[in-house]
Amino acid sequence: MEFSDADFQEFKQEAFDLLDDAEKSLLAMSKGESLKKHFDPIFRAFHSVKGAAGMMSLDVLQAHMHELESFFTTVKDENSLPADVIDRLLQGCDGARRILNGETIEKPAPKEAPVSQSALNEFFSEAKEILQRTESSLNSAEKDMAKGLDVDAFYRDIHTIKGSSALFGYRSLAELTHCLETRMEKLRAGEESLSQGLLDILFKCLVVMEELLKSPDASHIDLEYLKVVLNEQSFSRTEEIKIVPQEIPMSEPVQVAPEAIKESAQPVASAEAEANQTLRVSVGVLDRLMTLIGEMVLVRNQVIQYTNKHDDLEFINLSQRLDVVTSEVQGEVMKTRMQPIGTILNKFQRVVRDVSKDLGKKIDLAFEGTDTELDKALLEAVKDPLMHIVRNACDHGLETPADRLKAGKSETGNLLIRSYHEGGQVIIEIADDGKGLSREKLAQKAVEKGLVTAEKVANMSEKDIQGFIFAAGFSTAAAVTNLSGRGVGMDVVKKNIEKIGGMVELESTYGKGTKLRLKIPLTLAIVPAMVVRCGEGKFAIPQVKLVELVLLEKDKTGARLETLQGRPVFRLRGKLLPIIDLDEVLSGKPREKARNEDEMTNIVVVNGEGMTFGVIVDEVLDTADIVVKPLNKLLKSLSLYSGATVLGDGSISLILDIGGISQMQHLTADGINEEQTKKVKVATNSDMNEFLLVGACSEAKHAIPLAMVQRMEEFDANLVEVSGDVNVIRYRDSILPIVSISKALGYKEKSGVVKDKISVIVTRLGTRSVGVEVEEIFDVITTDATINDSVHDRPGIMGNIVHNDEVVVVVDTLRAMDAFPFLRANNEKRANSKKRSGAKILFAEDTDFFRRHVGQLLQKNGYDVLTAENGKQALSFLQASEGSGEFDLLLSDIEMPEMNGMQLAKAVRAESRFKELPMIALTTRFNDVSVKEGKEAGFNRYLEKLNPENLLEEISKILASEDKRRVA
Amino acid sequence: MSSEAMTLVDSSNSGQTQYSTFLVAGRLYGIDVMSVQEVTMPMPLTNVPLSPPFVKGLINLRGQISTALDLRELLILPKDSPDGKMAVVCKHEDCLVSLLIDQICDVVGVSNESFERTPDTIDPDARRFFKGVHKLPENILTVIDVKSIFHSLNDKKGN
Repeated sequence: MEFSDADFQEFKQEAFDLLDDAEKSLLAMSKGESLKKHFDPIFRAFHSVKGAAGMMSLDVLQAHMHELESFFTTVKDENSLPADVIDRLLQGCDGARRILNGETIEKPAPKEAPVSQSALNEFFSEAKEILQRTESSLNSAEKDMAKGLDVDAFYRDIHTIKGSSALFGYRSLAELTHCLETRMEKLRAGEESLSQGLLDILFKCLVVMEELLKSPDASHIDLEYLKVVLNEQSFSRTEEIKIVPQEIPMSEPVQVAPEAIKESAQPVASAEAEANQTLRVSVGVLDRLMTLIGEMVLVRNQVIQYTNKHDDLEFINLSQRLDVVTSEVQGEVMKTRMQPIGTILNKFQRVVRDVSKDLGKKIDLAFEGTDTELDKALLEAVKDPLMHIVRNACDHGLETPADRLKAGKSETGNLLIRSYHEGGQVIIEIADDGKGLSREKLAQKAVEKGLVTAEKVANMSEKDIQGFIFAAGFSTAAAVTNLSGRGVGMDVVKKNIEKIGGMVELESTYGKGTKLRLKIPLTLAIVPAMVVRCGEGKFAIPQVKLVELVLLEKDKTGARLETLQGRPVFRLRGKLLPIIDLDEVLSGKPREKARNEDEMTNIVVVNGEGMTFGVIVDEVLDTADIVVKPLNKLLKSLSLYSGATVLGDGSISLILDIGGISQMQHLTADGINEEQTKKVKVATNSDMNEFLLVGACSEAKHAIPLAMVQRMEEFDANLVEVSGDVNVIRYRDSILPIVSISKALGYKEKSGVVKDKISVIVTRLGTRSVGVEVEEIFDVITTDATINDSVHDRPGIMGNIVHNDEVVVVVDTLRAMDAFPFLRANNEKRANSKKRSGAKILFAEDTDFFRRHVGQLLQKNGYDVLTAENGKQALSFLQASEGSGEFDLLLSDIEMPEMNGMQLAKAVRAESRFKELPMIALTTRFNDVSVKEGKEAGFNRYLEKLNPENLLEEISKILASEDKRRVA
Repeated sequence: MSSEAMTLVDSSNSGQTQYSTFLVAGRLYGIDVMSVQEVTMPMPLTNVPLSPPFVKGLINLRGQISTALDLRELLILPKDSPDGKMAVVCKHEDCLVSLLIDQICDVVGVSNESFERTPDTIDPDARRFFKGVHKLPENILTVIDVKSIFHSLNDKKGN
């Protein structure tokens, strides 16, 4: 392998540049500038030239630079350099230049095959891959000794490294791999069998090999000892487990095949073979692609907005295609940056192994969801915090075998790292079944550290106290070990995770274990956010910071802003919420008109720097996935912005940094109740269920699906008036009937209790609103628990979920309202009315664009729309619907994945209760044949997409005739 | 802009530097063409509340966000005439800035011999953004140093 002329010229150019730089600095110093400022650049320049010269086998130059470098190091601590020293250094530079020029005439004969940097890089990454692979195979062999090690594969991998390391001049590495190979040959021949002792040595070898890759001469490693150990025969004495060397597991034939080629061929050839499958692309190119895609998405959005104003069919078609293709391109480009989390997790096996050995503990580390993918940059960012957490768990969390036995647990501690997608985030859970966090110890420590007073701590909730482990300098470990316990851990973990827009949650039960949950955004570049208006400007608030939205209305008693020392506050469910006015923050001066005078006041409740506060904005506009662009350095000093983004209409929105704002406003976390900081997701596209926890006249807490809740209100009790037997409240120019949830569910109401305020949940029943009075509003919870419907003793109860080890009753508000005859009457009246503006329409459509487009159109016209992404989903929605949730009309696309419109229609008609359900097909495939087909499948109408007037007319027609039929 | 000291774009003799020239408050300024990415027509500005006075806002430049800087403010020029809206876009270390100008003029090649450093009598707050001046027969061309705008404004932040 020879380096080309081009390589040499490139090197020479670079060396000249470096020498020029060094000289410039030297000259600056001769003019009196300090050495301190210039030492580093000069040293780097010398060192780089030396390194490069070594690589190119330019021995003379290398030696020269080495001398220069050493000389320069001796003057390191001087303040400034005397002229003669500078002269000498300058002469040294000249000398280097002469050597460089002198040698261009005849290219130096390579002493030992010199290598280009790119080939070397190739070697590095290949070797790293191999080491990773061998390590994981050793790990699995250790786990399951009986299955043994795939010796052949191991041997081949080692052989590959040996071959290439010799080629690239990594002598020690080559020698070590040679010894390893010899030893493996014995295994292969069946002369020796796999034992724990041997595995230990192999692990050790891997560590050393990695070390050697970093620094080939690695004199600090006792190679000789390892070699001796490797050559020793004696290990066959220890406990043995037979392995069958020739038997390669059938499940891995694919992996074996290319490896076989590798064994005989040169490493270079194998690299070529691999090149057909994969391609190494620089991250810079990918970043550039990402930016371009971001721009393309914006253009796409603008095209679609433009399309909406026009009805040129051809153009609409084209823009739809552009939409689809752009989304796909975006998806694919994002994928290029994604890596499975397993790539970093595999490292932990060894860490846990080593740590547990050191500590004399038995720890079993297991993974779930290692193929969960995450942006590479984020993956790098979570690596260290994760390592910290894992070490912490091993060190503090899990007990020694003796302690575990005493506590009635199995000897081996379990550590589980689980990762999965949830609601547009990646969740990484690290759970151990160790001793958990002790309230007493934490509280004691917190008081000792002066974080909190002893009186205060006694009243704090478990969760608040556990939160102390995230405080800086907090450590409960009795002794500082070399692993952890220095108290620099968890606060750094939390800070680092939050820096990338993630969150850390802690759950711990004393005696049972601890679970840490990291919530990581999928990518750094795109975040879901809420866009608000303040004055003329639009601002985006990242959704991770959002807690909830509160709307205050004038003329409504009970909820309004109050002032405390001139600063506004708001009572949110009985707790004081500090309020800042975004307008005042941005303008830097107080508002002229008090907010309480406004018709409506929007408060965005956010969570920044561990505290919750409300931000008053002029208007809440929309939620959107925004592409974060950093602000110009000139604006970096403005701590209230974390960046900017371009919205769909091409306008720019600044992204608010909630943490920065709270610091600006000097809001601190002192004394703020953490319970309320639980996040409420505004996005609807998640598989999680959200419930409002309320109290009724019953022991259990009750949960109302958040989707059913229009708003939460608190009324003065004396505002309640009576109409007939029904309680009502005048509310927003209409009369709101108030019914009690306890009554609805048939609980016995507490008598004799007179309340000043009543908590009311406004829910929608058909076209009208109903106020449901509850005893207390607790919280909004997000849970993935499924509703268990095995126990529901009365109508109006859907079933139960378990939340925080507590059974919560899930209320079906719609059914529960059936307990009140007057509401039922209203429902029926609605069903019979001619004007069917509140009719429920199920809309199946696979294209996002049309789903949104048509859905919004129908909603604008007063229909209640539920959308499904394909026929299958639509059918399941239909089947699940019952009672007042039944649909009045099915609107469906024809071309859909999973189940197309025709199949859907047939399936619907096959069920007896849907025999008469009006169905409309909405399609671009519009010809006589397909219309006939559609009619046969069961559609009542067959309409063309993109003709909104026609669609609306047909819907109202078909609903009207359906009403007539029902009445008849 | 025609004169003997200037020649039009193509001439790239080594003794010459090409400047993109423009007018702000009636004065002639120039930036080395190599530092200019493009010149844009007036574009909508998004105000950045609480930003320093020289930041006029943000501009959506085909999906990239560029920061608009007010040259009147930076160069301490009278603000009697209406604000400039056209912009000279420059890039520095991945940061885009749009310098707001009143009117764009030609790209001219100027002989390096006519170069002179900025006279000391100029207000140092403005002078720090100048590389120097070119004496043209009919006019004086002040050369703006884009790098120094980035650097000195950043340094100011640090204090």
